[in-house]
Amino acid sequence: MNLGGIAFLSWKALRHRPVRSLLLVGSIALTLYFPRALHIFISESETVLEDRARSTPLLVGPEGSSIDLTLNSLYFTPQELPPLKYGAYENLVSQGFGRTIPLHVRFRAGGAPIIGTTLTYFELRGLNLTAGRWITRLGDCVIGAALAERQNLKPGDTIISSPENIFDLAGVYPLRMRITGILAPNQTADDDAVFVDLKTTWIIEGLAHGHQKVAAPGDNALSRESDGNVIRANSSVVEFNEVTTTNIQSFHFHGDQSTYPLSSAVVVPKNRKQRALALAFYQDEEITEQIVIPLKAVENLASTLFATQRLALTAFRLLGLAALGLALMVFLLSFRLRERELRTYSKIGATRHVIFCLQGMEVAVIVISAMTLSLLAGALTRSIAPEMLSKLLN
Amino acid sequence: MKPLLQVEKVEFSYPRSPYRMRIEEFTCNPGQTVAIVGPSGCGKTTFLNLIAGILQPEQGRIEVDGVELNSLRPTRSAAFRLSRMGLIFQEFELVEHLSVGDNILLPLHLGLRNDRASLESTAKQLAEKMGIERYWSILPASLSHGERQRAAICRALSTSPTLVLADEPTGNLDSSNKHRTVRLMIDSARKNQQALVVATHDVELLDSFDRVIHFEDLNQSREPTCP
Amino acid sequence: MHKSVCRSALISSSFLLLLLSCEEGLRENPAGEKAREDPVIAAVNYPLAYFAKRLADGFATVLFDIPAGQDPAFWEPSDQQVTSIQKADLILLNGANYAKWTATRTLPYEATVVTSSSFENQLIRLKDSISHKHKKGSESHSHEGLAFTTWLDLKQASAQASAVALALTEQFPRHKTTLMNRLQDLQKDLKALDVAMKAAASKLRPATVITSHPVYHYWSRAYDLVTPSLLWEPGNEITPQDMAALANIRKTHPDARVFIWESTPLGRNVELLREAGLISIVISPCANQPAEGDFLSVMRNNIAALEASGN
Repeated sequence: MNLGGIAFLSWKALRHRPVRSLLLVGSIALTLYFPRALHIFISESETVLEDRARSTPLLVGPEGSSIDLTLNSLYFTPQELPPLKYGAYENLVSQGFGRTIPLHVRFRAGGAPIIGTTLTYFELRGLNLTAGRWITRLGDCVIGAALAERQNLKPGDTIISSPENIFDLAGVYPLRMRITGILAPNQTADDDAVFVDLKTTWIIEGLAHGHQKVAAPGDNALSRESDGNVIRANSSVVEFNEVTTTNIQSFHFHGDQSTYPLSSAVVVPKNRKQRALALAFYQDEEITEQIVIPLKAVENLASTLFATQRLALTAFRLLGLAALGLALMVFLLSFRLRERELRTYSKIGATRHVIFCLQGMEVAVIVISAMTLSLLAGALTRSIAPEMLSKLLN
Repeated sequence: MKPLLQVEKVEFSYPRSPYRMRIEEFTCNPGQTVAIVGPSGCGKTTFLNLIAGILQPEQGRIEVDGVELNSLRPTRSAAFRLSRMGLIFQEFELVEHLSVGDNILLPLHLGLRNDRASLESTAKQLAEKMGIERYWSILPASLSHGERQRAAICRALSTSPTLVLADEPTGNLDSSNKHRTVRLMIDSARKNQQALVVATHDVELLDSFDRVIHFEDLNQSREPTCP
Repeated sequence: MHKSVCRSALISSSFLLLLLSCEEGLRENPAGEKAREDPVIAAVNYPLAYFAKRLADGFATVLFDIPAGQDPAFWEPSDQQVTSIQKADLILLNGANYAKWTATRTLPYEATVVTSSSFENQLIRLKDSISHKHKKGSESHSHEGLAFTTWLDLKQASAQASAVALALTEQFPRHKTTLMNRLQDLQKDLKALDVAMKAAASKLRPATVITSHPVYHYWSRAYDLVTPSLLWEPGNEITPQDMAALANIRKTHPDARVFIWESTPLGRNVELLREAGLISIVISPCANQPAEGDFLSVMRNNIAALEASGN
């Protein structure tokens, strides 16, 4: 038997009907890919979620869904829970359960979440800068690598916080923030985020502001001056929408700071004792905050995902069987259409074995191509799964 | 001289058909050309298929070049046909998606163990003789009937078979092409000492053959002759 | 008044007890000490820088770079200076809203230590405030909010020194013994100054002492003196309006015989006040690094000036 000849004839036959061949390859590849992609995506998601959860030992936040709290703190998903009061955070700090890192994840800028935190967050996540320097004052921000690339931003540029919704004209402050540094990519949600000092988010929240000196409130001429750098709070005083070297001293906070909002606080105990004490502390019924072990929350989420995956896989398998049945029918019909051609081969002197090999080779080429395509797509899915997950969550 | 093709007491019938064939004796020597004539449907194609080993007789013996075909297993029989016989079909039976060259070299692709280079060289010489060498790389669909038939003949002869069986090889050709084609087959048979058996109903060509046999004389069955 | 001072002393000594008791807890995490070759301690004012230097000399460098002549309370750092401070292992804050820049700059939360937190509830809230400038062209400011010259009450200074020592012990546990010994020495010095200050102040009582600037709230509370204040600068010549303001105060405090300046005043100012029957003395808050001497010597000079005025 001339395998080369058989391969040649099969290849010629497949090439002669490229649309049919590609459709077959595509449909079989998709049939094989979907369950595999689902499995890859879920297992990669679990790994990625667990990795980040592992580096976030404990989370303290308001009562509510522990998964919402975890996803908001780890993946900066929109804040679904009520805020955690700064007073509760200070209380947590005073307990000395280890390092405590505040997170305020409510606002967005340039389509990315704004994370109000402290410098310790960068240490916790092992984040480094590829350009610029760390934040030094109110209104400063460092941004993730993906955001910088997407919006072509560099240190020295500015980014403006967005209103929470289009009707929020008088609410959240559109603060122009100075980009001081770009973070090195770390393939997590940090790549697509804007990091600011916690106090900067309170300016956006409207709890702190800077304005012209109110030494002469009757001086209306001053208030009428138009400046692109300022926005009017009322008819006589102009508020600054950007923190600058000259106006920074005018920024001040109003009200009781202990009532200021946060989303959550990451707690990094130094030892088991601190961890146990922290967990025990929040068992007190009088305490209205909850403590969450992100790894457990993620495991719960993963088990839900796995249940969904099992269901989806069953559906995919049934669909796959149907698709493979259809593919088989397409092959059989195709061989039926080519009966004359195959009979010619037979008449000339091709044995049944050669005819069978010819048919088998065609099926094999299609199936192997489909499998290769599905494997490549699977590998691609694996490589972009963390990014996809991040995008899906946001 | 021992005949290259010997058919003895062969009987054949199709299932669920009243048609019967009984050939008492038929022989063809190397280099001899035989035309079998008869009206359409009288069984000429069936007879050629029996000789080629495509159909199996119920009784009798068919021997080609000393090999009793009906005693071979189907696989061996097909391999024998591939290597020792050249078949020319009424409908050319060219493969649409193969170029003319690949159609001519089809026996090679299907497992013929000849030297590829020499077979290719023979095939190209034949194509040149038949005036189709310029179509070597194109698909048969763009060829005329005559050109396609010549390509089919080229395929049958390129393997240098000992027996050439042609079923109405000129059925679709104009007069000048008919004569040219038949002359080519006969020349090849004589030159290469091939036995040539041509089934035809075209009386114009009969003068060219060494022997002309009326199929009705050959088939001694008293049953209806149309399959 | 005495009650609150006693409480400060109690808190101060409880820090010492804490230092002793924290040993076990610290052993659980020997890695708590940063593996840095040359640790840095940043301070927002000179007294804290001095305490840190006294306590951590030899194993840490003290970062205090505020130029001479500037008041650390109203100093504004550049981005580069903030970056340097961010890198410090410890950042010593005074508390009482001192050093306004700390509220608008990003500092590593965990490295900051509010040294006055042990007497947070004893901080003095100011009711009235007038915006003013120290130098022509400088930023105007007001003293509204909390009084912040906490260390002029030397018991409070001692409590702040304890807070510095506690933070240093947590940061550098292997220097605990050294730190404790040095803290004891420092507190002994501060206590001696406190006793001397008290004695010197007692000689002035019950007379009122007029101050050139409202930075003596804790001092007057600690040493039981009445100290109405003006907004005079030692380097600015006294104007007739200033004299009118002084006369206004003297109407309600006719017994005032001593006038306190933050730093050495112009000779003309001293002359004018002498003609008005007031003795000028300098009680330096020592917020910034003195040109000569250190925190203790400046305080000793303050005590000497006070004693001289009382004789």
